[in-house]
Amino acid sequence: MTGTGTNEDVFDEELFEIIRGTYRDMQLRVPLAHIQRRHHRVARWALAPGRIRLVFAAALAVMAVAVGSWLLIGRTAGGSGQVPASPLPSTSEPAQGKPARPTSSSTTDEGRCADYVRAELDATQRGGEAIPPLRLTLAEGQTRLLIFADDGGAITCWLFGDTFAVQGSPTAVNATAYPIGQLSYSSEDSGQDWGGVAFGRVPPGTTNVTISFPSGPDVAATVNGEWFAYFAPPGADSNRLADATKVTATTSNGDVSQLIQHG
Amino acid sequence: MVGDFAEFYAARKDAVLRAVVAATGDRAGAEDAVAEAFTRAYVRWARVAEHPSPTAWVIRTALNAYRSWWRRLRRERPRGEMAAVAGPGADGHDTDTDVDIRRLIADLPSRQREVLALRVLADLPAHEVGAVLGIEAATVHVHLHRALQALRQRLLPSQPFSADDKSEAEMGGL
Repeated sequence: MTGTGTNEDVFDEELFEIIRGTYRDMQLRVPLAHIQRRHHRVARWALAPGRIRLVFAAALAVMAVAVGSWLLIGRTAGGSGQVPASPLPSTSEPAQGKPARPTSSSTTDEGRCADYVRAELDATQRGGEAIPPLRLTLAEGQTRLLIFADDGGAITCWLFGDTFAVQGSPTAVNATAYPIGQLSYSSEDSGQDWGGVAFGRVPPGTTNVTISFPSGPDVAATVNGEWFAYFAPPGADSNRLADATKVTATTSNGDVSQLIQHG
Repeated sequence: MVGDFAEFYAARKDAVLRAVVAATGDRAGAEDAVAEAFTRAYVRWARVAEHPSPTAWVIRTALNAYRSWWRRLRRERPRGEMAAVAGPGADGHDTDTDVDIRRLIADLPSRQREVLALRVLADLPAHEVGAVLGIEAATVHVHLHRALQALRQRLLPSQPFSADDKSEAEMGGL
């Protein structure tokens, strides 16, 4: 038995070398300077507490200006007095072409997310596009997740305390991701250790949706009309989403299933 | 601090890319995800540098970034198409054997592929592989064993191993 193990070890090492050799010419062709420049974009989505306070203070200042303008306009023009719902302009636009940092004066998650998503769309020259309707809202602990989706794509807005992350259509090419009346499935990780989510669309009349894994029990998703979502807390459960094998929708006409392929 | 990051980046960027390419089977997506992960590491370098394994941290972040839904929607495809996406290598030096082996790796179940990539190409110890993937070290060994067994079975008829190696392998019940 010992001899067998030794032979396997030797053979494994040889196989390791063959595998390494197969990938030997692959090199990341991204210069360090590019990484260092890119960090300004990432920093938008991972605001440090000090930055949050700075943004909050700046937002308050802009709010004060907006309210002052509203009072002035309301008095002189006899307007309705409603504060415009559009997102506030960035209050800390950095020099030399750094992207605007999304801010929001909204006090609701939906309002904040709408502002963040709008800013993201604007930043990608898709400012004329409408934000998809809000389909689902999930919350667990400090994490809240809002899913905006239609048959042309989806945008997720993750909120954790005062920090946020927006992912989705601004950079996606998924013209028919969630066709009406069909079962569809996608999943994503927050990218911030806040957990992951699987979501998609279901046929009309769906009452239950379950997601299956190669090991362990199925999980039941939340269904809201023609949409479903399952929130996986950070850790092993979140990582498990990458191994999901099947999604099944239970409808009045029977079960509809779709096998999940992982890239 | 930046100097430390620069050293880390220079030393590990290629190994991380190879591991993520092998784990995902998607060269272009892996490049994006790895660049994103190193960027996040740069932003948080003071904290990442204290991590028991900064390389594991970057790989985990890259895999998480890759798994974000929009990347997957763009690139999810039947498994058989993955090898074509994974290659050819950047410098165009791929041999037919390289492509064949990458195709075999791409055909492995996803967890075996990830374990193999992290253990062999990123050279992470089993407990760090487990930490990246959220599984026990013992499970890492099981997946690695199965992955190697599958590769051996498919490679043995065609790979130019020495007669002694092949003989030993056969004696060992491989």
